[in-house]
Amino acid sequence: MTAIRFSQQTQWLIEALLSAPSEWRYGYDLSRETGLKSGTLYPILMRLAEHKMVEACWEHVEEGRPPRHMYRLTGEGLRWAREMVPKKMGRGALRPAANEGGGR
Amino acid sequence: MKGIGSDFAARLMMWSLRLAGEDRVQWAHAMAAELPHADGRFGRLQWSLSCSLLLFRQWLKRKLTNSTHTRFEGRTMKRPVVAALCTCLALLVGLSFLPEFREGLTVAKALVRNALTSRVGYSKAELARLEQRAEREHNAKLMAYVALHSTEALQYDQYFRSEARERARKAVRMDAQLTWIYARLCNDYRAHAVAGCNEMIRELEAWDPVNSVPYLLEAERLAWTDDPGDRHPYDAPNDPRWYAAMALAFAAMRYDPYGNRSAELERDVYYQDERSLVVLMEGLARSGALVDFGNVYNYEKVELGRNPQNVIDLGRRVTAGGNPIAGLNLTLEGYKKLNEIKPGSIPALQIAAEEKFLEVTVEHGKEGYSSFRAMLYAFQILVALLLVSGTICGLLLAMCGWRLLRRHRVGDRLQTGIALATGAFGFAAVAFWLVYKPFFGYAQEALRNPSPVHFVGPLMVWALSVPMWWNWTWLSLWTWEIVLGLCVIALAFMAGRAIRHWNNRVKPA
Repeated sequence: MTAIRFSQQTQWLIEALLSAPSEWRYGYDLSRETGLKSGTLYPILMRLAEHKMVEACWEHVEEGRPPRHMYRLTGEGLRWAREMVPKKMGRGALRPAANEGGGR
Repeated sequence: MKGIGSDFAARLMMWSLRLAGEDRVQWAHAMAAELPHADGRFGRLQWSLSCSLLLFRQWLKRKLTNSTHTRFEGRTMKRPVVAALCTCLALLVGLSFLPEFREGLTVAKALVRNALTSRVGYSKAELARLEQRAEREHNAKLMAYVALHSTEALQYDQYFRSEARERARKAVRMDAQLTWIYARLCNDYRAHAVAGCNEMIRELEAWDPVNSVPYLLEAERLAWTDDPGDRHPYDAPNDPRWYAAMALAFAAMRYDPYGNRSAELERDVYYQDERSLVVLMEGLARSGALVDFGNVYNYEKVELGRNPQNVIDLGRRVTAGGNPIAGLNLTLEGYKKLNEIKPGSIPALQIAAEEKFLEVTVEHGKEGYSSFRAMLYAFQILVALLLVSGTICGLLLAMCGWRLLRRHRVGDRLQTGIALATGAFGFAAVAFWLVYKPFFGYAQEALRNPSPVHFVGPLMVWALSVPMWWNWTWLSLWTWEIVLGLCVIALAFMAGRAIRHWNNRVKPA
């Protein structure tokens, strides 16, 4: 398996997912919380999903409403995230305030 | 909340879904499903634009690299990259068979050399070597050639002033038929630069007494070196010697600025030694200009009052001698004056015809100049693009080779870079050939036709080799700075990203 690029943006996303690890999260909510634009957020989600660090599923909704895709950390992802985030925090990475300016 | 498809953001999102590859369809739909939940019209537009750009980027990347692989000693190079490299190589081989492309490259080489050395033409060392050879072989033509090239632009230091004179004297001592080179050394501004012009012009007058040119040069020298006081250098001087020289110039039987001889000399040496085409073009271009007509027009008023026919005759001789604009101006002034003195002596139809011819010649020159400037900039930008894309392509290929030798995988980014740089290089090569094509025609014409009337063509070819930031216009001054600045910013950005990615690279547990 190739390496995961643990960029600052990846770190912000992991932190957002770690804040409520058992909950399913929507893409737009993650975007607002991390301040990442969709063009940055989704490639990270795709990469993490390919590495089985994140699992995704479609929500079940009543008819007439389009379903949304949801994400959360897998068990392996949770262990990896808990190991990596403190290491990276030591390098001085700062997380933007939630909903700050709607993007970077 | 607005439903999908109700505004521009939704329409863009819907259209972008088509760009998603098979393995990304779910993700594309996931992005689209979030759109109705985005806050406000601007938020939706931002979300849609960002997603569309991502899908477009992935589509482009897939087109460039993500296809079947070509095996290469166990490692892989993706087929479109190999195809881009092969196409570019085939293109270069094909272009190298075209004489226009090969000749364009020699001009580009001269441009790079001139840009790096801040010099046009020969260096001191090259001229000294040529001089030694001319002495050894007792080659008067080569010595005259060295003398003429010793006064090239940007080489006006004391060394060249005295060297040019000494070399010219040596050439004339070897062959007195080359005395005309004094005229080309002592013309207009060079009269200041080359010491001893006084004696050289005297010798020239004695050698060719029926030619206006030596007298015009003498008058120019007097106008420039005479103490001007408060007088503008182009106003008529008070020196009676100036009036005497001008009177002789207007009365002389011939007007020969020795352009043909000069062009012939340049061509002879070029064919003997296969010297640089650019230097030949510069020499041929210089063969066309000699006399400063600002000085001539100052005296014209005096001669019109004395004998207008002399002005008409000189104008005709000047037209025949390769300067139709100056010649026609003189002739028309003479016509007007003659008609004032003796009405009807020159038919109005003849005056109108010559005026029209002058107007057409001037307009033609202006049109040619503006289109030429655009071509000049295009040529120089394409040379820069060839250099930059060629260098990037070479570097990336070297990195690729290094990785293949070490049995490492060649990454997608590297392969995309190679494909893009190769594409840019191929495009620049073809555009470069197309832009140089008309200049090839000028150069061929100049090589075939010995007349200095065609000096504009060689001048254009030569000007391609002069870096455009040497021309003091804001566009030419800033174009290169902008191009270089953007390159530096791009390199710094790429280096920064590479370092950051290297630092952030962590293996999963």
